[in-house]
Amino acid sequence: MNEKYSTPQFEESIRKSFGVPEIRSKFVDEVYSDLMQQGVAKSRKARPFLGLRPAWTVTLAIFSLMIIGTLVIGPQRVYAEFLKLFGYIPGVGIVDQSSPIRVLAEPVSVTRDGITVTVTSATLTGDRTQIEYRIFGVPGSAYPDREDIVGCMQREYLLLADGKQLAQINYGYEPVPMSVNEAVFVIPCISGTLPGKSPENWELPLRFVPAPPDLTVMPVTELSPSPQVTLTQNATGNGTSVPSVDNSVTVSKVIETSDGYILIGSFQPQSKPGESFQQTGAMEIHDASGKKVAYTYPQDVNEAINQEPGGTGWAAQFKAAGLVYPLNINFSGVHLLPSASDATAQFTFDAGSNPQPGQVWDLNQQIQLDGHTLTLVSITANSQRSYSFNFQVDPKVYSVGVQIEGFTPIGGGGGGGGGLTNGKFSTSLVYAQLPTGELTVDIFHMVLIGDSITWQGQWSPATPRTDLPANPTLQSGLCLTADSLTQLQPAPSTVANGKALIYEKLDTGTWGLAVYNLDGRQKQVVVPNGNWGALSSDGSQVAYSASDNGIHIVDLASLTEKVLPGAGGFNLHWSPDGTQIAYVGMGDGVINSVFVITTDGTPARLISDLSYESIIGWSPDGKLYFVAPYTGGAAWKVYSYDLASGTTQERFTIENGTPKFLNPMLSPDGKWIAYRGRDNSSLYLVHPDGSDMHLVLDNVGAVGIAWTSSGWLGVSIGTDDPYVQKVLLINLDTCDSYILNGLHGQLEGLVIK
Amino acid sequence: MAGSSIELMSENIDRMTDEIRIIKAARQDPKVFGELYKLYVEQVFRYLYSRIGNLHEAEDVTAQTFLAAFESFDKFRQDGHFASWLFGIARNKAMDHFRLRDRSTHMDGFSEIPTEDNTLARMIKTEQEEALSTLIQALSEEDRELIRLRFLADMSFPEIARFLHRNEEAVKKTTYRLLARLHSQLEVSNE
Repeated sequence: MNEKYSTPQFEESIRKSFGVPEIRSKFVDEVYSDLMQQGVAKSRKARPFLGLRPAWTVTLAIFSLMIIGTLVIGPQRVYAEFLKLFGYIPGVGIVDQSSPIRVLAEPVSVTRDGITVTVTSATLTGDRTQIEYRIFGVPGSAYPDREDIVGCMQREYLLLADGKQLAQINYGYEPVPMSVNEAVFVIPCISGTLPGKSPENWELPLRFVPAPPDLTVMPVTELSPSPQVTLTQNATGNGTSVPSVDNSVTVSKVIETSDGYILIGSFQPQSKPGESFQQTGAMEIHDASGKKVAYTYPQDVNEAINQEPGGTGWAAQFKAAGLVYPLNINFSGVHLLPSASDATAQFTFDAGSNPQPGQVWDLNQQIQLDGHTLTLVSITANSQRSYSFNFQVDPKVYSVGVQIEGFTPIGGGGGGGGGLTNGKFSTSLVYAQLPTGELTVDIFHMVLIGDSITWQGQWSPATPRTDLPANPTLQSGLCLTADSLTQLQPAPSTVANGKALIYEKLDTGTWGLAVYNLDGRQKQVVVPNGNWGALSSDGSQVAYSASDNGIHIVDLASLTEKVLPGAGGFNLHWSPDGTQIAYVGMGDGVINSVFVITTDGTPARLISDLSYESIIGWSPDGKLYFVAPYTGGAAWKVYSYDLASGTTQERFTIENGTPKFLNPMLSPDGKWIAYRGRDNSSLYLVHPDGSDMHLVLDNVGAVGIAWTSSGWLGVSIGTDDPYVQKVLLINLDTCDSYILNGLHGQLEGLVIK
Repeated sequence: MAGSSIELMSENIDRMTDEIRIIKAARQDPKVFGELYKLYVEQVFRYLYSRIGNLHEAEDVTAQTFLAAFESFDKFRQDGHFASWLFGIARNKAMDHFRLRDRSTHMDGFSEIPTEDNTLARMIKTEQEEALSTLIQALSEEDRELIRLRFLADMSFPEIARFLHRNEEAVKKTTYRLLARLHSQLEVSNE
């Protein structure tokens, strides 16, 4: 009845009355960079001295000392002393060694109401205190049962005997004074829990001792000036190249690790006023023989990366055996150029009097603009009072501006991509109220893709390594490395005889589940819009989590679908006989806990209430394996549940798994658990009793995991295209490995006949 | 380089249709969380600025919000309600911010409409907007929060209802009643 007051003009006045300024693009970029580079960073804190972070304060002081020292004792000795001041401790990062390093004397645990908090390690240096701790046993009832309610977010701190509190700084806690060897680690409340639902004010007394002589502290070498670098511009289409000197890619720090190096540097493209670039791919490293060097991103050097100028730091850790120097560090991109003319185009479309969210107008409107052909494929009305304009353009076009005459948008996204993204891009315009009726649309400000560019830096070690074998043998149990992926052969038809369940972007543009033959043929779209698929062991049914969180089962022969009443969740696992499904769901005061439901629809049964669990799978002897995460530490405790007796058994702890998406999978014979490693890329195997844990795929970008009853391990691995994965088959007995070239999505299920 | 690499890299997506896909991808590759960041950073900033009233502090709390969301993202599961979850964190971060500043007047979440003399932040307001600003300041915090969520955070009625633990229809009616009230008060003030 009062909706008449909700006019676009009035709503816009309300917005403006708050006086909110435009968000600064520099700020947006900086935070984005932080998110990408320092996932573990906690919060921004005041910078104490000249606006510098504590570590920089120390650095500045050290540089001052160097200058004075140079004058007194000469440059060579000062440089040698300087190198000793910083060291790299794996898992901790780059630390100041100007004062003796101390560590935790022994782990400390406190248990209250069934919840155990353990401080497992501490590293004390002149610039910070690194504390590693973990919590286990927090009941699901301690967390909000609705995830839009946010529980405790108070930060832990160190309390000294004199009452001083050492707060968190970006990478750890404030340093403990050298004269202090005891402190209390205080956790005001367990992160995310509701008030009064779990014990609060935890206090763990810590004792610190000098680091043992065998503590691994690797020297950090500062490079100055940075190495020789070049820029190569390739004029698109004619293959010519124009190398020139450039300082866009630099290497500033080198850490020599036991099997290779960590390089830290910056990427700041040198540009002239008015020049624009678009980076088109991830950093690549090649050695002098042209071999691509597989690298990982070392999370523990985030602070050093963020200290690179302009917040454009990068880091790479790689193995050095067999590499030929110099290494070339490349970033690729293209020039972006505004169209030479101010050409505009115009067309009309009728949105009707009441456009609905999700409504699509298929237009296929051809537009000629300054000699380029653009097709406006469709316009979509979105639930956020916006229209999306979906274009298909020729390879030279990057983007165009769009506006609806007579209507001022309040937001929107500057879509781009065009020739860099298979000719497709979209632009959205958000309005206070969606424009209706016959609309006139202006197309203008075309941006074109110019020459491609490769920014290149070079690096060689100061002295060759003599401690690394030229052709190292793979460690026991390791079947594939990033290097060996390129040598994989297609799976022979004798092997590739079966079905795979793949989660992928479908032809309709939505993300769903499809079943393929292993050669990529006979695609059968099973779920046009759903995820968390699971293929039954006989390959006849697919269970999935629908958008309403309900669990659905599709029979592949008839494509009939049924819903399991009362069940809602994800992470689905079929029992070996296909009569039950284990899943992670909510209800009965638990949050993301393990349930089992029979496929005939009898009520679901709660198996565990430890919260935030993941299912590993069913063993042939009637046990259901699952993991529960420790809070505050990247570790997972493995349990088995005997369905016959209803008893749960604690098995062991996975210490080297990723905290993000462990994706553990039990082999059908119950002998192995496969899971993703801490680097979010490698794959490990371990027996269900915790024995024989070993690396099987090293830094290959493993994501999807599926076993077959015939003993094959299927793994889908990420590629440079975030929408595409490759699917591999590995025989663990022989390490015979193949690629399934017809499959391009995330593996969610596998059956081989 | 171009003004904002984020903007350039941004694949312009329909938030509601692709959000669940992005959430799932972000669970597997933490870097994909950046897509969610791009979808929501403006709304979160606007919401926080309206509560905090200082550009740099609002930026700081916006950054903290996304870093906290990134850290606890592995515990987020209800894929259809990301906005409610994210703004819950933003609200808590704002509260933490006020506590740290020891500004007891803000402990209940109250914040005046920004009036700081900050050349970066200052916007030129029309007479109507100035009058609206005064009227909104006079609202209860509960009503003001509703206005913020609807018009600055750009949340839908179902999202607001979930965020405030209220019935969707009630939220819608309250909002329209508020608009009517502001509208009539504005007319009176202009007479």
